[in-house]
Amino acid sequence: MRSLLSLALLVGMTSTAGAQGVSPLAARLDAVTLQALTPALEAARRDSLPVRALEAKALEGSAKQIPGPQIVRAVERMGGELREARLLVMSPGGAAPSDELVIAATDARRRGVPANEVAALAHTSAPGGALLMAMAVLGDLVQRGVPAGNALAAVTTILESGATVEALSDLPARMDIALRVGASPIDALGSATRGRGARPAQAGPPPAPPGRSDKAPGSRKK
Amino acid sequence: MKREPEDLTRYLNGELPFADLPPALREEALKFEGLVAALDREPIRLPSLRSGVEAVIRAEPMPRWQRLWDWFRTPRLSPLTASLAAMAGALAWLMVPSPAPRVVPVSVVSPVVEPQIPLRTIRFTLEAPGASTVVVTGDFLEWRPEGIPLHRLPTGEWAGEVDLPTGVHHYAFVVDGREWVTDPAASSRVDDGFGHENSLLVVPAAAPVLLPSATS
Repeated sequence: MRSLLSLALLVGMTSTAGAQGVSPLAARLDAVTLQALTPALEAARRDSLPVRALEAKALEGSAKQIPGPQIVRAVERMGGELREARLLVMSPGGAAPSDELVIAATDARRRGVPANEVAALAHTSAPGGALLMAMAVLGDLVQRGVPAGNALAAVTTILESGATVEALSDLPARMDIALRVGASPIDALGSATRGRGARPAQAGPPPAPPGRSDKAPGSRKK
Repeated sequence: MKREPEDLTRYLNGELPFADLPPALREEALKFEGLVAALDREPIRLPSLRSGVEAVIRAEPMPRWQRLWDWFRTPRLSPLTASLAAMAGALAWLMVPSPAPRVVPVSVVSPVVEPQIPLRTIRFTLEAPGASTVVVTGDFLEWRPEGIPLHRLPTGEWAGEVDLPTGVHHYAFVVDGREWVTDPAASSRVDDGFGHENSLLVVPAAAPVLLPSATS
C-alpha cells in the first residue's frame, strides 16, 4: 500500500513538471481560444489598459467552463469597457490613471452608473484608496435604485466630510436595512447617510464634470 | 398600516427607544439588530508586508488519507516546490507515526500578488449546511476552480481567511466543486459577462484614510 502511494506521489511529481514555464492562459485555454484572444490582449497592451483584468476574465471563463467563443466575446467586450473607463477617469492633464481605478470605473459603468458620474467622481481630490471604495459604493447605490446624481452627491459629500473609508463602505449595508422595511431608495439613502456627513438625498441633476459626455466610445448598453 | 415600518425605521435610526416600539415590531427590531450585527465585518488584521503570501485556513483535524487525496487533487504551481513537498510528504507519511496537525496550509493556491503590495486578511463566509465542500476563488487566484477551501463551522456556515492585496477584487464561491455561488453577504455584485454575477470586494488600505478636507 505504501509503495503504491509512493508511486502515486512520483506520478504526481512528474505531471507537475509538465506545467513548468507555461502561462496560466496557455495552460487553461485551448489553442483556438488562445489564438482568438491574442488581438484583444495585444490591443489592450498597446492602449495601456490593465491586461491582467482581461486575462483574469479569460481564466474565469475557463474555470466556469464557458465555451471558447463566448470567452473571447466577453474579453473583447471588457476591453472596450476598460478603454472607455480609462478615458473617463484620465486626469485633465492626461496623467495615466491607475489600473485599479480603471477597473473600478469599469465595474461602476457595468453596474449602471452613467459615464458623467463616473468621471465626476474620478476627478474629486480623494486619495486613491478612498476613490476605489467610493467608486464601488457609487455602483452599490445606483444598483439599489438611487438616481445616479443623488448617489454621486451622497458619496462625494461623505468624502468631503473627512470620513474614513469604512464609513463609506458601511453605507450600502445601512441602506439595505431601510430598504427591507419598505423605504424607497432615496429615503433609504437619507436614512443611511444621516449623521455621516452626507446631505439628505434630493432629486436634482447631477453635477456635470467639464468636457465629459455620457456617450463615450465603446460604452456598453445595459 | 404604514406606520409600523416607519416606527421601525425610526427605531433603527436611533430616533425611537426600543420601549416605545409597538410590541408587534419588537421581534422584528431584534431581528434587524441581529442583521446589523451580522453585517458588521470581521475586524481586518494587517499582516506585515511580505513578498510571498500564503493563505492558511484553520480546520478541524482531517484524516491522513483525505489530506493526501487533497494534495493529489491540487495542481502544483512550481514543479520544484511540488517535488520537494512530495518527497517530504512521502517520507513523513512513511516514517512519522501519526501526526495530528490542527492547521491545513493551502499554500499551493495562495493568492497571486505582486511583492510590495500591502495585504489584508479577509474572512469569507457562506451559509451552506448541505454542502460537502466550499471554496472561494476569484481574480486574486487567477480564478483557479480549486480555490481556497473554507471549513465548516458547527452552525453549518463555512468560513476561511485569505490575505488579499488592497484594491478591487471579483470573487465567487464554488460549492461541491460544481455550483458557482455569488456571496449573499456581499453588498456589491457585478455582471460577470457570462450571464451570471460575481461578488465585488474592495480591500481598502489598512490605515483609515483621512480625506483632504479632514486634514485641512
